Amino acid sequence: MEIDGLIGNPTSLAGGLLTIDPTSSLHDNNNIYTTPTFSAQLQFMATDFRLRLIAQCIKTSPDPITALQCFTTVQRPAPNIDALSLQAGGLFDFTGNWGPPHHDHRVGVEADMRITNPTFFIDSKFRIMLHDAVINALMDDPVSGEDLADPTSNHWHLVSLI
Amino acid sequence: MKRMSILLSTLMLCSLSSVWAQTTCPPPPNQVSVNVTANASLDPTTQLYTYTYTLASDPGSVQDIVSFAVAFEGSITNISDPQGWDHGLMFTGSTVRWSADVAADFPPGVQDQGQVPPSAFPVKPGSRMTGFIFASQKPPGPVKYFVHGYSPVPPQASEADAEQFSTVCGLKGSFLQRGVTGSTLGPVNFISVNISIKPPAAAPVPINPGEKGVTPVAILGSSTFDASTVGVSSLFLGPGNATVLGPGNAAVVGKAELEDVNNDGFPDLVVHFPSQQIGIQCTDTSLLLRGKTQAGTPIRGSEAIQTVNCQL
Repeated sequence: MEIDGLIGNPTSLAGGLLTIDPTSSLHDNNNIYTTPTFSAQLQFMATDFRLRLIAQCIKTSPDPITALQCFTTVQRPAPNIDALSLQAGGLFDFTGNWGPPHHDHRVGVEADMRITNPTFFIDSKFRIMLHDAVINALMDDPVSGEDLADPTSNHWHLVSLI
Repeated sequence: MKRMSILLSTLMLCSLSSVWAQTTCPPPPNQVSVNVTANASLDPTTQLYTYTYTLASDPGSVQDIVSFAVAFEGSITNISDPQGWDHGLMFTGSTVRWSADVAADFPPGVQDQGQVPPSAFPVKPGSRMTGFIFASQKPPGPVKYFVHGYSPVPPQASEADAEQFSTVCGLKGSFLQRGVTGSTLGPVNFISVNISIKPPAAAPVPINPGEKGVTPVAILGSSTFDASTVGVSSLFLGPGNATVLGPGNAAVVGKAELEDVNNDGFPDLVVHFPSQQIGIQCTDTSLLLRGKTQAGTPIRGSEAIQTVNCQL
């Protein structure tokens, strides 16, 4: 089964507010594809998250000068995506029944977002804001999971509602 | 005997694995009883309405409120937040959503495994919070609100478990629709009202375009629309923009008055128009009523008609 109309996403989106890691140990390093709408949702999420970080910086600034600097001083964390879809979708449908896991990865509307990876650790005080950005971007309420024995591998499964 | 033993062992294993596979879902984020009040005030200088919302959580609510959203029409500006809350527009651009996004510590014994932490500034059961504010050029009318309680999603042991959990527990679907929804005041282009032409005639209402006399129209009240708030002098009917006949006109039987023409328990406003001014054409299939509430909010309503005695 092939999915038409998926687009390739660059490793940096929304002006660097979202990064995508195309490497994979399971297949070719080309799992960068999504539907155009889902790509727009991911960028919307990253922008919303960035605005929240700036807003919190401003609200906690001791004076107006420091608050103004929030627009340049707030740089991190930037969310990182480590799995999208292949160019024609599919492939993960090895069982032939469209069952889990990775069901929605096959049609370009799911992304794995690193949350607790040491390199891209999203502190819980930022994670609550990132969760709101995910919801505002019209995605499912994300579930964390991968390997409870190795919590650093856990990530959120972002799925489009559109 | 040996075969029976193997069968029993297999059954026991299947039974155990089904127990292990059982999923304990978190409660939906709708375990709150909330009263949402809205205030809309017009600045005559800027012609901007300022909308202010207050949430009052009932003492019987089970969950803390951590999210509040309001749908709107047009655009909004000057959005303000209560302490510890932040706002954002949703992807569709027609809903603003506030959330209590200053994190508190995880409860004792809960390990950080990538889940969403609780909020430091929720609306607790039995408390209230105001300060959800924005401005709009659009006048007030009925809009939807969405309130959510805090219901943490536990981490899952594998990718497959996470996907299954999401499906089984109903997390696949609009976050907004899983909370508490209701109607409040917000910016609208116009209020859509139901009307009844020549009540109690049923649609399509037979109308002779050449008829003289008066045409009564009832603006129907409902649980979300108070017909007594209509500005009678603002009403226009049909392509001819007919205006309401005043109570002093001899052609009017009675005057603009409130009565329950459809027996639904809500008062309806009955007004009369000069039939000749309505401007009905033989090809028309519906009549549009336009007007405003006494507060200035545009209203619109239409009903299907069937022209009779026409010579096409």
